[in-house]
Amino acid sequence: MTTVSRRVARPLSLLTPALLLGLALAQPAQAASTLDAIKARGTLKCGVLAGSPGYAAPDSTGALKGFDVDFCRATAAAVLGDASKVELVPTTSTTRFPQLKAGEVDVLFAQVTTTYTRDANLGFLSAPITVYDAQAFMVPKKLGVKTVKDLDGASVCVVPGTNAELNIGDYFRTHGIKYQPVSLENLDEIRKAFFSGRCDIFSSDRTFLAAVRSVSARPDDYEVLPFDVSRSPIAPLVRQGDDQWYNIVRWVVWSTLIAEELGLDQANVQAAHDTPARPTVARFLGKEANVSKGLGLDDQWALRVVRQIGNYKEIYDRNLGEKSPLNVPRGKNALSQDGGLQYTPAFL
Amino acid sequence: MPVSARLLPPAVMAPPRLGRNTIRALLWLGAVCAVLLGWRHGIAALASPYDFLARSAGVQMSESLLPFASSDSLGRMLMAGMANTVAVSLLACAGALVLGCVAGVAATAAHPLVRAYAALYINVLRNIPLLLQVLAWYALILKLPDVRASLDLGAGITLSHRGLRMPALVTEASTQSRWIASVLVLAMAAILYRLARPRSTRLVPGKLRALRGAVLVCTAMMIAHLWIAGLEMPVRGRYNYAGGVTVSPECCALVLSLALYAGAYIGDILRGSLRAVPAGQWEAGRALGLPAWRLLWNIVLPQAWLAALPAVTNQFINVVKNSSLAIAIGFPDLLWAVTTTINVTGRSVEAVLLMLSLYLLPSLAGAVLLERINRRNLYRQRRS
Repeated sequence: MTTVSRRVARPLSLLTPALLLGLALAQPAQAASTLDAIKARGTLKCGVLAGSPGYAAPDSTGALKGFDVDFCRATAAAVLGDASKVELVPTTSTTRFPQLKAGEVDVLFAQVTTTYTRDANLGFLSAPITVYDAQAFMVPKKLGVKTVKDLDGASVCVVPGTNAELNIGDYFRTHGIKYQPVSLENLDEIRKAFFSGRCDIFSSDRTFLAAVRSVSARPDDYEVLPFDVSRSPIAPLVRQGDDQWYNIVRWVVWSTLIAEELGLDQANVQAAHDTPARPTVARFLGKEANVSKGLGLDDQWALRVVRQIGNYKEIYDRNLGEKSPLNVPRGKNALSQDGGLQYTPAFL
Repeated sequence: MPVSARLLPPAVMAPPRLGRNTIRALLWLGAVCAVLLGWRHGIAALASPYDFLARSAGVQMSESLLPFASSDSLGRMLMAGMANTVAVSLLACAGALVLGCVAGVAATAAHPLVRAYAALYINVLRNIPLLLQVLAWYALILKLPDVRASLDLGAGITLSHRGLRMPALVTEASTQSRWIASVLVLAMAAILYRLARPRSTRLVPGKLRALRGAVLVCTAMMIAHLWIAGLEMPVRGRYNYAGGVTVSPECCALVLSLALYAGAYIGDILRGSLRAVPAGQWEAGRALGLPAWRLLWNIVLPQAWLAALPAVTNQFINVVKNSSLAIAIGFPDLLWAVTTTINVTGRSVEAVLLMLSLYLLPSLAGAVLLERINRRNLYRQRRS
């Protein structure tokens, strides 16, 4: 070592352990509640799976629109009063969980399937299920696949970091057949790989498959096989440790369903607020004082959600249902009184 | 006139001892890791922050050198990813070396057209971002015919957009008699090889070299006969070919783009170092009547390589680091394995620290190797 570097090294060798000691002893800053942080910031940071058609895809102006985006805006309307006060943070299937964990987003509406490992190991809480979905296979019709055994030896496109990847492994092992995985993180790349024939099968949730098929050049060349790989309940995700925020997100999701149940939509909710037909409607739209104080919200939060975004039926039809290019039937996502699985608590 | 060793103080002539610094660097890295992990999980958890490595992976790798099934552990998956990274990097480095040599020599050629082609290659490929090159090669390779209409290149080799399928070698069962026979064959070969070494005997060196070559070829044939049972031909299934060995399009695209990119840099380095070889060497070689290729191969290039070695080693280290772009095309390398581990277990700090250490290993190895070679060469130059 020359004398110059020796001179530099002396203070450095004192500074470095001091830095490390400081790092070790530094306490993480006392976490303010998420709600306070959002109100101080003035915008809600909402993580969405960018590029997923129907859920969060850019429209012709480049702004993200979709099912998850609408729920993000609903949360912003409830908490901050204005649906536009939301910052949509684009995430990918692999970065969404670290981003939520690190605090870069407040809530994740990123087509996350509820699984045990995610709740137990990643330290998150799943809010109510927004879409009751199932994982399925999409294949070109010309392959003539009829049964599960016909899939032996196929190349399967999966999005990495999703539960679809893990389910495929289980499914193929259970049926004793082999497959070749092709995993690409970018959703556009994986669509291109499937349409160019790089892989034979595309496996994901049925709504996502419908979206992918709808953007293909020839949608009629592909079919979604009738058998399910596994259930796939899609729900928003929040961090553990903030119960009030978890409750807020839960009730924002439920409020859209309750609004549909009560017959309220974007068009008639203001009139229903001025002259409520039933006490439940009056309470829901904030005619009774101080009902929502425990949540940290003002009483008119549900009115804002329905007026600015709509009820569940409107959100679904606009993005995934009959008014959208995807045209996925509501099926299990209908209200329980209509034969579906969406069962909400009463607004008491 | 050679520089006298007495004119310069020894401290400047002797290069710094990298060995000690490397150990110091590793100790600091270990200390930082320990502090970060202890801070996150509490000091008690320092004992087993990596217990998640024993968990079952549940994910299948699309290709791996080490045999890997989805029921294997996450630790094994990380090792398989590391093996993939190392394999791709080695192939790319070898390709870059060859390409760089050719490009460097061409860039200092006498004919202006040859120089122009070399300059085109070196300047264009250095200035396009590597990620774009990887994606471009991948898109090109995907344009190959569909697997159901594969090009048949004969001898069971087929080419399609799902990769190059080749027959695989099937090895015989590993029995004790086979091992004994192999050891005997190798011992015999070693004795014969040593007997056929060049010394002051009546046999001409050329004939000795031929004898040595014959010994090696016979040994290889005998070992192959002992161990290879036959070829496993790829069989056309409903979707893919089963059996045989595949070189996937992802691997091809990655190796090609890395080799071309690093080859451009190495070519430019070599262009400079070829100029640095004194003109007297060229003239002396021509005066001796050496043909141009021998002059280049035996006299000029060895000296040029010595001067270029630090920069070229740097490029090799860059190849290893750039191989992490595999994640853009879905090749399961170390970065992919770490990302999957984080997704499955949520332990981002531990997994990322492990990944940093594993990527640091080839760089440190390259630096230590370079340091050894440099020291040996500096000593040689002092003596001359």
